[in-house]
Amino acid sequence: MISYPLFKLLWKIQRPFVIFSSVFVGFLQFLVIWIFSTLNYVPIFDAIYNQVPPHLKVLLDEQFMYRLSINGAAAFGMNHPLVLVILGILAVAHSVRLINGEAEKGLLELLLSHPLGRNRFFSTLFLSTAFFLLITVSGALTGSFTALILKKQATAGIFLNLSKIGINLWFLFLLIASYSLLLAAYNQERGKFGVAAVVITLTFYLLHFISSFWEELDFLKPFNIFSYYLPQKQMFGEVRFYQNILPLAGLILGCFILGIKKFSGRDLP
Amino acid sequence: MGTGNPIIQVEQLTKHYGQSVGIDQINFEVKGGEIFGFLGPNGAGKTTTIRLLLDLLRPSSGKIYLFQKPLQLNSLEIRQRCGYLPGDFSVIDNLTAEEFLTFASQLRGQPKISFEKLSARLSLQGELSRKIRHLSQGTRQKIGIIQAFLHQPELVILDEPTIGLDPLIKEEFYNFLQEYRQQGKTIFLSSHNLPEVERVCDRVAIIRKGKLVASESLENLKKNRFRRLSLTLKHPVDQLQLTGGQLISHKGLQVELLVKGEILPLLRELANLPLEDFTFPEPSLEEIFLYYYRENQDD
Repeated sequence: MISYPLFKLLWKIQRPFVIFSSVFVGFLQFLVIWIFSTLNYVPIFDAIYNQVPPHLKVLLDEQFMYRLSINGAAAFGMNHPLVLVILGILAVAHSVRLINGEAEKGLLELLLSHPLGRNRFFSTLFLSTAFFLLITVSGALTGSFTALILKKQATAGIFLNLSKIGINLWFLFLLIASYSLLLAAYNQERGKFGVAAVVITLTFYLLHFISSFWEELDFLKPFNIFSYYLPQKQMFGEVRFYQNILPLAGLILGCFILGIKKFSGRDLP
Repeated sequence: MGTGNPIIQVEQLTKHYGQSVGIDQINFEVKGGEIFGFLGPNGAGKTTTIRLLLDLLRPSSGKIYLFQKPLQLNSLEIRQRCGYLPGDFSVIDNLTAEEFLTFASQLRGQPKISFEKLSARLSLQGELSRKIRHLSQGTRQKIGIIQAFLHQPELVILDEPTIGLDPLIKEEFYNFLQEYRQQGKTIFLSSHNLPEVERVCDRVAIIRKGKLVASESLENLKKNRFRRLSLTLKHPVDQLQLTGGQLISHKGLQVELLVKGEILPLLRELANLPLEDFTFPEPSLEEIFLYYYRENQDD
């Protein structure tokens, strides 16, 4: 199922960026909760929030500090654009580089001339990406938990909901990594398919953003991967955890199976 | 797998890339304990053939047997018994040479292989602890050679192995290949360097434009070998008639000849010419292939 020497090698290659990402998002979460709970922004934001038009309010619900509570701030941190960008880079670049980038450099040819099965190579790549994403998400959760504990705002409920959000976030980016891997398995040019994966992800995000205030696009929601990651609603129990996880898990599995099938049958490099 | 048994058997092997042909219905056999040269110019189909032998590419048609087993059904087992040096050898730059070689041996499930002996032989000892990105092309190539021979494979496939090596190390490498062959191991050496192939190989196959144009012993290759002779005359000669060689061109003081087989009769004729200088430039591979191609057509 997995090649440990290859896994160790991939960890060695990605370690600096994974550690940086984990520390960075952890610090960001810490900062969001710390600032929110240190200064009393609630009356200021409340005044602004009450004056914005309803369409913009819908926008703020997901993108901003929902209900202006510590829970909302914690959930907001997990949806911060910087967090999404860092996880996106990790999800797309790691997968695409190892199949297409190393193919360009000839390393893929060398690796697979060893007694290393293609399925095992692909699985190792997938699982290593999952591991790196998990470390980064764990970093974010650690930052949030630390700030909540230090500010004496920690409750079992907020810990549980934040953990669910973290798992949900991990699944979302694992799906992005999975379709990036699938695209990489279909071709050999890194640039082309790396860009394709990024374009697809950004398109999903843009449609998710637009459809949050444009009701005519509501019908697209079930087909958008970002509709299955709603941290604010998750924090306040407005969506069920498994309703988000199951569709993402299904799509991850589908992409993985298709990717491994394609990769094991294609010419290399 | 003993000496003399077929190690590689290729039957009617064809590989298409869309509309273009990589290799076309090639057949050859490599026996255990021999160094088999696979000679061809760039783009002739050498690397395609090698990638097919390693199950990296899937044939459009034809069959490949390694160690008398169908390749695709026994791919992992066969690759365990093979070593490979790619023509475009590339490794992860931020590893040290030692880390990379340890990784290569771990991939083969043999983490405790020692590479000290071979690295000493290729004068690589001081370089093992350096990051690969800081090493010269020649040193990188040595690392590639070591990883190919690391686990003492029964078959080693080498694609242009001496690129970037200095002449002394080249010589040491050729000696090493001979010794390795004497242990009953088989070497498949792809090259576009005729003297290299002549120096180490027992048998040679020549590939051109995806087709195998010759497959013969080195003795036959040498017997059929032709040379190019460039003459510079002291003053123009009106009618140049030389029976020992075929005149290719005669422009002013410059004369180009093609000589096949014995050179002595021609040298006697040259003694009667107002000769300023003469050289035997190494014929290009394309010239050799054109020669073989023409011979085949004549046949």
